[in-house]
Amino acid sequence: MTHTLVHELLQRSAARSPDATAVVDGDRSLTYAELDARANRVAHALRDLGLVGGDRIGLYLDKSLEAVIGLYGVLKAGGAYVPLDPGAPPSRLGYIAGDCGIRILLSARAKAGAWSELVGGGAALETIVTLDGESPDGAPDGVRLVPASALDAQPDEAPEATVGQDDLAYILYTSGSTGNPKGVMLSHRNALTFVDWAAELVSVGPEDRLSSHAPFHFDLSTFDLFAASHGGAAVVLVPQRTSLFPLELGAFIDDQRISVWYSVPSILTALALHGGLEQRPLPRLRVVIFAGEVFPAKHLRRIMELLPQARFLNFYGPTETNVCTYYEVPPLSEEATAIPIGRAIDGIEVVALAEDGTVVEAGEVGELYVRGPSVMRGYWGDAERTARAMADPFAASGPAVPTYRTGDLVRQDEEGEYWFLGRRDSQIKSRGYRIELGEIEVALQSHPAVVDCAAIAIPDEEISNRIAAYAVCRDGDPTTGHDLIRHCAGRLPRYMVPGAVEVVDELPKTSTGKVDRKLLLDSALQT
Amino acid sequence: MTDKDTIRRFIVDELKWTGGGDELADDTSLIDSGVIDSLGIVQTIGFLETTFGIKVRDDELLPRNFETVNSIAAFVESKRAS
Repeated sequence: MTHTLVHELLQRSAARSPDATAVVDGDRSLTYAELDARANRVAHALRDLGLVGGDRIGLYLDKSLEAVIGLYGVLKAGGAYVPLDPGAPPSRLGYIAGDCGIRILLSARAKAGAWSELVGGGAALETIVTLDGESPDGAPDGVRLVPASALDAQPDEAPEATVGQDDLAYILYTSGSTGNPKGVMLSHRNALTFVDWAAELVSVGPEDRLSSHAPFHFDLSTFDLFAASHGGAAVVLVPQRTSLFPLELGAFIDDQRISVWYSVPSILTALALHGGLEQRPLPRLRVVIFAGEVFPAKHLRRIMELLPQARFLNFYGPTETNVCTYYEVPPLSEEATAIPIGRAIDGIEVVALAEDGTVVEAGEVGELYVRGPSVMRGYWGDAERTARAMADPFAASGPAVPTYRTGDLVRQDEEGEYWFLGRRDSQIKSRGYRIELGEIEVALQSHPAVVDCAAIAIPDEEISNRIAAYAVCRDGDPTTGHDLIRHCAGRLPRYMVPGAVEVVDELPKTSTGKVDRKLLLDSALQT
Repeated sequence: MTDKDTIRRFIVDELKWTGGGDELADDTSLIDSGVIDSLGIVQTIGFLETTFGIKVRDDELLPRNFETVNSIAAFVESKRAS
């Protein structure tokens, strides 16, 4: 069945099976009828607060039933939700909220202490709705607080739809090379191109229980939430603390009867090595999907041995296109050292181009371009960057197709599968997070003592890359590497903070005067 | 320096505790505050094994052994005693 708006998935499941479990959060859960009704109340409240189609609404709360209700409420109201990483420094979130003009924030009591910092960081907030209870005292100046109890009077029925499939559904912010995060704008059509395909590939049905491991500001979450709604399945929110302890995670997957798991590979590696699966075989787990970074073959082989009944799927795609290729992993031979990213999903075209814009032959290295209805609408408020990323190299030879230039270097093998080889710029992955080294350098540069700096990625088998940085400080300045790490920790999400910062007298330069990153990496690898 | 001091120093220096201005108390949850995340737990195990000469087994990787400075110190003590 095809859909035109993301929240129709929820509405249809609520009509078809109102009493089926929709979301599980620890001891609490919601049926489809409850989730739909409570999201409708949020939607009506947002309309009463003046939301008009396309308005961006911030979601600033830990993953919870309330967060899911809020997210669907925004969609039903005709807005675009903007998930703010609850663990990121509020100053960075304030920048994001200011950048995309968030006026209304859906939040929770536990986050009240950071509201003022959001405003201080650039957020022009007018209203904060506390989804989990009474609003705490101490609103930022000029901001109206709305408690959860105010939602009770709203109707349970869906408000009239005011948006279409090319309107924005959500904006996900990713690391930006110029120092500020950039907002990837995704429409209902973008989301459903992926969700409809994925739900069918995995045959998500009412018996399924999907994990929700990735945070909502990470695009893996769109599968967890929307494929579950698509199939009338339950989505089980994985507590962050459970993910840290592999033995507990194995027990959680078993106790919660998870049947479809989706996460970055590093969490599956931890589960394979330390999850105790030899004693606890997880027979209900029928599909394991991973994305976000390269899965080291030896760890993938191990988890496949431990879960012999499960299908294993490698999903690939940047936030700008969501998943655009996939590969179903066959039993891996002892010799296999890597797996491909596979081939295009339904309705999407992928093609590798040489630098001169010609299509490369199978076996040759090219840059991957993605074309089709899952490609983003653009970067929020940045027409220039959008034009650069979305220039269609085939514009002269046919009708315009939304196109995204990934920056990923690939090679196609004789069977038609694509293999990921690396990046053509300084974007890296660490634990599945996408990081621009330039954003880290801008954070370091903002320290008054720093006159020059460079961040580098050190390859690491478990987490893809570790981050190290080198800084030159003013003559005689006593600033230490630890000081600079703490400076970064106040400005960047934890996964972007360098593990080590070394203060040096000067940075090695190439003959053209650029920082010699290769030399820095070589010396880092030797120590 | 006591074990707790050593552990506290590791959390501040190596795990980059910022705490939003709050002091790191011995009963502050390191997990809820996010300082022990998926990278932090790996670093913490490495730190305990090299600093205190203990070996952390898979079945000891539990929240109750890593929740706070107090629980890490108690875990180290119990490993020494065994």
